[in-house]
Amino acid sequence: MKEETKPITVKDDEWLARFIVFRKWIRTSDRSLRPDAFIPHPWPDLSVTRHLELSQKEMWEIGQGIADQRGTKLLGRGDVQASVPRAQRLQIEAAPIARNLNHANVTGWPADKPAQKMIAQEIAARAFFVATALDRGD
Amino acid sequence: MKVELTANSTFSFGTTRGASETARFVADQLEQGLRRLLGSYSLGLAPRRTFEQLQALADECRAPGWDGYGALPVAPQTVRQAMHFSEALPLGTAAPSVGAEPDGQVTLEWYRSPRRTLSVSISPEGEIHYAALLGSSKAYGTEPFFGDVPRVVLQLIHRVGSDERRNQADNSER
Repeated sequence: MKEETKPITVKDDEWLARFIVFRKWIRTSDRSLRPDAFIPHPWPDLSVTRHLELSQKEMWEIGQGIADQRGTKLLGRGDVQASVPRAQRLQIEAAPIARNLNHANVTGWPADKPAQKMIAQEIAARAFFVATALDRGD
Repeated sequence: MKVELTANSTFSFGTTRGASETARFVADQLEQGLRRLLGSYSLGLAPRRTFEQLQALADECRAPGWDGYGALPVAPQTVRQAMHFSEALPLGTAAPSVGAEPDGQVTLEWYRSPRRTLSVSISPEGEIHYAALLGSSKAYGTEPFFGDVPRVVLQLIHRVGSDERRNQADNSER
């Protein structure tokens, strides 16, 4: 994975991941994600990871790094296509960092909380939860 | 059709099922009704469960960064506000599930499907922010909480829990 090969522009059909370490963000009834997982904080950005060119192993390693920083267990990730936040008039900006060259920010969120919640509801309704092998019990 | 509920049947799902499709339908409807009853506030079981969930949440989210991304801690004051809000829900209200947002607000969720759901955020100052998806329509806003659950929130809880297909059928018959 070379940094110079990463395209800056995020395409609409690209998949984005939001790593999940908090169990209450996963609904027990159908294993879908609550909108809480997509509320931007620290506002104004929502931190995500692009799937672009990553293997499953590399993707989970990035998620594990996030969980390790917190000293907690990685439960899974919420996958959503870039077109979903864009349909809510949000932008997606590639923002590579040293430990995650696929890091991106979802930006352009409104300042008021209820409008943020409404957008998070729309994103959650189109997101897919993918559990780690450990959390699936494999 | 009239269905009588005895004390025993109210707390038992071990209904006897008839062989016909109609009997199975009646048994399923009865069982769903009993589950809703047990999950509602009317028997006093649901508030206790909500309070237990809120207490667990307070423990789990008391340190910053509980979400792995730098979340604010959930303050005891916010949990107290959420408990007051839960206490103010009318009898018979479906029990919410408890969660938290990265800005430290407590969330109560009424969920039927991804596009039939209501999320209520409770701030430490007692502000209530809500957002609901109801099929293709949506509703969101902010209300102050002074001890009574705002009417708009109660209406949304009811709409999430109601059977839209039945409502549409009812409307078409009128």
